[in-house]
Amino acid sequence: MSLVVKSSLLNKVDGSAEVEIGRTKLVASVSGPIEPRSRQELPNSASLEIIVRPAVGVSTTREKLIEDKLRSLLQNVIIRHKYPRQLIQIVIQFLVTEDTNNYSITESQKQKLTSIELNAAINACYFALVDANIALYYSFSSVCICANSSIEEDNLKVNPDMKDLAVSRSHHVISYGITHSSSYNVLLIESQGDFSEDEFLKLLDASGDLCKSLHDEQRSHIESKIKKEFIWKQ
Amino acid sequence: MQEVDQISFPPEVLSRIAPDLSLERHLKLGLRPCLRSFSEFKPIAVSSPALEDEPNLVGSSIVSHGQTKVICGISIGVVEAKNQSDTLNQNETNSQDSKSDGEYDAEPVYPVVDIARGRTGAPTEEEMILSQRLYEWVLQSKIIPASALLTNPGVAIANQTSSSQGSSADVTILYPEDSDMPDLFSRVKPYKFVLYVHLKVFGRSGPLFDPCHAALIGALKNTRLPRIYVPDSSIYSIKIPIRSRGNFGHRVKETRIFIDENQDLSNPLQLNKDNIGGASNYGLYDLSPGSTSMDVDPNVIILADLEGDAEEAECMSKLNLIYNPNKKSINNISYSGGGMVLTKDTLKQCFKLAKKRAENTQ
Amino acid sequence: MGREIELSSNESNFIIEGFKSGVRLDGRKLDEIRQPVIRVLPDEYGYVEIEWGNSKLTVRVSAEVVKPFEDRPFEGIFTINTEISPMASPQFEQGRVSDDEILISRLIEKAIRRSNALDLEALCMVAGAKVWYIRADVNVLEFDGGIIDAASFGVMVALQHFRKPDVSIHGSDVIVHSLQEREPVPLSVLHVPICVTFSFFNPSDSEENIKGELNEEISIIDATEKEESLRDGSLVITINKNREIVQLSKNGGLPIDVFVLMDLSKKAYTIAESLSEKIKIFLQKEESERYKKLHLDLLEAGAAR
Repeated sequence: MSLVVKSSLLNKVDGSAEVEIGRTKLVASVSGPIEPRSRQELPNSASLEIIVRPAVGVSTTREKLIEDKLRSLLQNVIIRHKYPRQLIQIVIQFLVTEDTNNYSITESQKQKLTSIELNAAINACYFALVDANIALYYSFSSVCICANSSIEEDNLKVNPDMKDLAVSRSHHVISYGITHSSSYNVLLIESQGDFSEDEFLKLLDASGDLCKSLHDEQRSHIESKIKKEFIWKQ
Repeated sequence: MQEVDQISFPPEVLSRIAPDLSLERHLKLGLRPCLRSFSEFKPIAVSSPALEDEPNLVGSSIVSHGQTKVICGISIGVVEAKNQSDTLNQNETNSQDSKSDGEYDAEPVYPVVDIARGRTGAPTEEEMILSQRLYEWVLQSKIIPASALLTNPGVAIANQTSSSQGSSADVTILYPEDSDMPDLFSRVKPYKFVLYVHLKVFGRSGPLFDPCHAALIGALKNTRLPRIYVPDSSIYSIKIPIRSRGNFGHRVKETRIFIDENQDLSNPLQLNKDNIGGASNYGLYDLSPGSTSMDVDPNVIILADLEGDAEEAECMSKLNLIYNPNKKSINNISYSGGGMVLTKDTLKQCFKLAKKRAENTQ
Repeated sequence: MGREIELSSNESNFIIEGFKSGVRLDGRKLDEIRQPVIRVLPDEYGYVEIEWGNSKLTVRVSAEVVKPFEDRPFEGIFTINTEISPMASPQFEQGRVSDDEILISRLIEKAIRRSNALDLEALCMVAGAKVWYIRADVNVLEFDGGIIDAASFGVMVALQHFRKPDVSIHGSDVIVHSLQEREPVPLSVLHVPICVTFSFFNPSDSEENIKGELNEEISIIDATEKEESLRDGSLVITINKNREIVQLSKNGGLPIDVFVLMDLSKKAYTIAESLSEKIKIFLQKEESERYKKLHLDLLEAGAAR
């Protein structure tokens, strides 16, 4: 799996990260804790505002659904009671997606792309949240997997591109929370397609290992980031 | 020393001021606030067709799911079918898959969910998300084959004999399949139906995807697509001059399309009935006393079919499943969780429940 | 919710005093722009990242086959979409379009779309039925002033960098060839308008605005966010390298002398000239690299294959 990460690239927000996974490239930014609008304010925890913006055009219900899925993950990861009556604002801006510069995409392919985009957004959020110093219960990482005719080890395709998705029988975004560098807790599952129970349970295990190895990558990114940022301490 | 009075509240008050506490006490007694048992679903009843005498609807259904009622009506629109070459030469890009059924070049359905909430205004986030989830389900389940929405319009021909009087009453409509005049139809372009699905929800008392999903399926099952036709003259391309800068005498073809009101000619919408699954939702609640997220073997309760604000707000982990009893497979899992470990046993139990539920509601 | 930056009197006085002696916080001269950095991706057409000092934005140009407007059957459609998300700066709120945002998108629209920078008639495939719809999405990642200049610069680079797929037309049917199948074609760009924004400051008190004869107003080019928040007036000159003024838009109440305006136009022209040259050189370099990478020289007539 290849992650290209650049964090702290924006100055006006508290945390930001630019992530490239496969052909998908996006920027995530986090501002917070900041003052909320009065109707967003929650008395005992932070409210989350999540904005997803597509690479082309204005955001539609498709982006709203990605926002919703992201929110269901992030509200369980951010230690929200640490920031009562405050707002954490997260903006995801897609820059390059599989469907840009593609003139043959069908509606169903576009719908399947949601999982690639959700997966990229989750992983980008992690770096942006860390960059913004927002308190988290645990680290998290996410993988996008698609399965062909039957879910067996060799039939799984991790980080699929659009062609893989088009021929796949099912596709999954699975995100794990990670503590003590072992994948520990399933945070999010978004699976679609046609698959059996056993297939899925097998896949759930496989994705745990993948999330863990992705987390090792995350760690090395963050390590080098900290080294860079605290260079004046030495 | 002052006596400390124990303050106690009647259950209905407690459930409003401390929903978390109220829910926890209920569950410890083995009860849910709605008095169902943990794995008991709300009764769901689909009546379809439900609004048969409504001429503008091609399909309809009414679903009652506990207190919730969902009324669903499907109306149609017609768009020019893009021919394959229009979108792209598909040769080199994913050739085998692109033409298979279920790959749409345009949106096949537009679900719009409207939750009655005592005021009007722009759609709420919940409505938008529900609409999009239903839309994605239609695409992903491939329940409607792309070919099912295609239609070849007929041609209305005015009978020459009576037209001298100017009475155009004598019009026959010819359709390509029962006519031997291929050149008459060679210039008629194929069209495509778009299904506009209107869902109106009354009495929201829990997650709405399940009843909306059932209503959509119910309505699709009794959808009948009418035939459409073009008047005779318009296939020979009436050109209407339009005025534009510099007026080049440019003409634009305009084709007018009519819907044949003859109900006998309408056909039921072809569905991939094997792809229909049943949706169900679960909340997971951790009962272990003073549980922290580090507990390995928590005392997790599965609540089927969440109902009421307390259950919706306090179950931190929620699971949505679509199980397909025909193919004995899972079509959709949507889980978000926090604070507790999702064990495989819990997951398996949910699968079992989903299976039973889907089979019962089929 | 006042999230807009407010400078202390000390800081604002410091900046204004600096202008009086010809110095700016970032060390630029009063009439010096921030030199833009352009980046494109090797396998994307029409996607450009612009770094304009601390302001960062991306422009994405995309194309789609649509039916033209009824009253303009021979013309393609071109729109520019500039929405600024809270990512750019907390002063921009989600779901509420601020006045600044409207002004910015209107000025860019006027500079590029209304000046016919893109030949719309060349986008027509079948009159009245099928035309190209070109849209440019400007995404501001970071806001530090000069967004009008940076965005219009970015849009012009992206339009020239973009390639739309080749089509073949059979009667009223159009076949769109994928980028792999046939070499895509560039858009026909008629001229390259460049926006230059001047900000005016009144060093004396407000009485000077009404009846002053002094003409002491200070004008600076390409203000940063801090400088923009202090300015008393601004002027956007859109000009191309043919010395044609496309747009003059002066906002704010500060009166400006006619001769000053002439002088500023001249300055704008030199900037426009150097920026157009910069775009040209960049695109040429980019084109030749792409050419080499794809081995397109093999396609040339008489190439040794």
